[in-house]
Amino acid sequence: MQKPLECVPIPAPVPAERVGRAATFAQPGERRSRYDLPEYLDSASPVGFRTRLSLTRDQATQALTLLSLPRPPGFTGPVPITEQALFEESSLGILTARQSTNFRGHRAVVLGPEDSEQAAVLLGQLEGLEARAHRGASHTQVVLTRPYRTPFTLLLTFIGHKPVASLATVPLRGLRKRFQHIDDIPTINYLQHLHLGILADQLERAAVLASGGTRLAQVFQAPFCDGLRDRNRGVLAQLEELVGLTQAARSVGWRIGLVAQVGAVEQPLALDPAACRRIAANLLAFRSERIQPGVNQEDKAPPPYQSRQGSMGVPDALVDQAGRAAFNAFEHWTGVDRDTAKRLLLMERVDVLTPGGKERLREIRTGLGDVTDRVIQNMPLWADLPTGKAFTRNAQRGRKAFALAGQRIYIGGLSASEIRDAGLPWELAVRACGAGAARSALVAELMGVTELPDGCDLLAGICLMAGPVNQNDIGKSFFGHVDLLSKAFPDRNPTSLLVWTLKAKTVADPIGNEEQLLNKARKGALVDLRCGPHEAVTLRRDGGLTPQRSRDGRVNAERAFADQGNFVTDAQHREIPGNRGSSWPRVWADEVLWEVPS
Amino acid sequence: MNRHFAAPPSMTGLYLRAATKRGALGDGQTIPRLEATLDKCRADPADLAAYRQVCGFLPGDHLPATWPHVLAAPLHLALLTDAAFPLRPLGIVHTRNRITVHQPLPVDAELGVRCWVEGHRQHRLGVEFDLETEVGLDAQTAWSSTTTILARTATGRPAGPKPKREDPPPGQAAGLARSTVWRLGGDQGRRYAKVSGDYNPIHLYPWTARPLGFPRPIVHGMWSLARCVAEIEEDLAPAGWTVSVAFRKPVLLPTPVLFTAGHDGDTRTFALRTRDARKVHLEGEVRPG
Repeated sequence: MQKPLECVPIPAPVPAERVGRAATFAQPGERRSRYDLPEYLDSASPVGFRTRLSLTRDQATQALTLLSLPRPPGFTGPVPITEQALFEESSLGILTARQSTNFRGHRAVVLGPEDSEQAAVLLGQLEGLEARAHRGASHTQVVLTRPYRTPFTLLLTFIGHKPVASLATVPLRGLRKRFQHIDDIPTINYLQHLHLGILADQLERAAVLASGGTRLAQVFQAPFCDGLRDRNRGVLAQLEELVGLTQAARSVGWRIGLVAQVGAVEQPLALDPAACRRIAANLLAFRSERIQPGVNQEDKAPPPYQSRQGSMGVPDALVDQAGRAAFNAFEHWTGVDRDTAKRLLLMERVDVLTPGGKERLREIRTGLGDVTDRVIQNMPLWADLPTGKAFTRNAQRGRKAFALAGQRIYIGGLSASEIRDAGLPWELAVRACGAGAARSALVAELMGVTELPDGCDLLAGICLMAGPVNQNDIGKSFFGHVDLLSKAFPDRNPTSLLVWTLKAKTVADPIGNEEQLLNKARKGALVDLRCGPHEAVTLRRDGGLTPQRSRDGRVNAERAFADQGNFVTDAQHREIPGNRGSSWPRVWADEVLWEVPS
Repeated sequence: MNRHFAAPPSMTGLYLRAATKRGALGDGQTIPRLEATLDKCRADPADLAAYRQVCGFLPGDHLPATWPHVLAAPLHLALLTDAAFPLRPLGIVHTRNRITVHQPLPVDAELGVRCWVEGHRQHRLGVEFDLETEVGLDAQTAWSSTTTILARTATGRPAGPKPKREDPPPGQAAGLARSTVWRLGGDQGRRYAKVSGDYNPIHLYPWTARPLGFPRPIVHGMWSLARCVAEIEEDLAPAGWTVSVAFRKPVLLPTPVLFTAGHDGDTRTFALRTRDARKVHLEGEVRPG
């Protein structure tokens, strides 16, 4: 049984110690740095550069109810869904789910009521379904997923080979990865499932927020995991056909990852629609900004980044609530009882501001640094030299990506043998771990904007990352290292999966991940992950598949929940050109997407 | 001079004449009143659909506010290539436009078009004149437009140095309702030419634009205006408003441009700028009346 969460506001710094980012644009002729606001935003994404909005205690309490949502007992029957409602749901779900910065691994096909009925029948035939597949869904989101592949996974192909044998073993591993989707290190495969778990959790909240509490999502993951996937092959093939998954897409690894039925419920949640929109705009901001650690800033960072805002601690009760949220999620997605959830989900906490914590952090950093050294030392020269040492440079860059900074650092993971003994599919447990981490992070992020005073960007925030775990996994797989969690859980054969760092009373970076992702011209720019709806969501209507918000030559330029006005500005309230977007034509947004059968 | 047309004149012949016509205003000379009328015409549904698609107008029961310009374009050209028109049409620049929608124009309405030009004003770079257009519906003026044109090749004398503009601060002003980037392709001019019939070479290819002083083709001013109006069309009443626009700087294709829109009381403002908002291509406003 999931436990309700309590609101634990974080005491704000005294007025004299409050610091905001005070972001500025680079002046004409001035060289831009990462601390300047971007010159423009050119994107179809619903996110944009957003700022956090202060929530009242009441609004925060409502937001916390979203972190222990029950499964819907049933649906009252299909209700008309407008194009705008589905756009907002997509914006809070698949278009903003946490993923690695350069990975686009999810797509969704949305089915209308009639196709949802067909899907419900098929879901009902699946072995291992976590709950009853309901009839009467208004729509169904079928999420497709593919294996995690990025420049980092390319680099992994070259790691851990013997000097001469590498000429044969590197291509062999490359081919296995391409055609059999076998990863170089296990945690790369886990990333796909961590992301899916996070998305599943987010889809539940998205359905509620986009409907003001009148619709809930019934999300299924288990039948798409491990051996159940094989046992359900026949039914899955029919589902794949329904959503138009082609053989070409299958060949590069696309599969159904989860299914979310969304429908109206008899007893809507008691949420204030206005509060829902404010919370939703905040959720987009959490996915838009990068927060700074508040300690250990680089020297060239502007003064606000260097300022400590009084005590940087957070109440212990908040940490308890964050843990409760993580266990809620693990319990919810695996179906185990609370005690089992507490036993299975392994978490180590490092309090960086204490002497013991500092020591432990140093130890972790040294271990990860050693892995990087070994990677560089053993890189096959026949691959590295012709590419101008691109692989070595990539590995070097990892040092920064794997740096851990924050007041509290959590390492989360599982023990494979214990998961097996509990009778859980491993991939499902990994997904639940991802959901637990994301939900726990959300507690900190929501409390970080509760009663947020003027002059502060946030009171707390979380960075969630898998990079340190992957680096540790390289060490485990090739260089004889032990798992990051081995010290805290020496007798339980743990597998660490995610690291999250809490940063309190600090500033938000004006160019967060979003800028890194959206601006291809920027040095070191990554792939644009924040895709537009037309790139990630397809609607099945009248037997055909149409991209969301791509019509008559137009694609989306609307920022979701723009009415909340939380757009990044400089101190003079000047905005980033293109950031505010332009609303989708109302005549199209108000259209009901699917006729509701009488 | 008043020329009546039963059907729109052929643009091909008019373009040939425009390309070869010479002329300049002599001292004390001005543009005489020249008028052209087209008695009856209707919008072709296929042409209209293509126009909506290229300009971003939504399907609807009324003609897009900028569409009558397409109807009037052959008459405009007929006036500018008339023997009595004293200026060389090639190289003229569309600098401003004002359109008033007095009443909505149903898509299937039978319309009459009347255009005229008369007189001129001195401009720093030449002479400026207005091309007036009225569209009638049931014997009433339903739509009217003033197209202001600069003839740089005329005998106009510089009326002073180019006014200096201060560099705007980075970013854009707060309070805008819309701010979005459009990516215009290299074929944007050709696409609009196809639906409007305006095949002025400056809009088509680099090699056709270069001899006329542009390194790359430039987008049609009327497309820019149409696209801007299309973006805010849902914010506007079907009729009873006037849109005014000033074309500040040509949009060289291909390029991204920043569209912004806001409002100040009853007046809606909009602009097309470079992507970083630092240079203005077009500024406009819509006022009631």
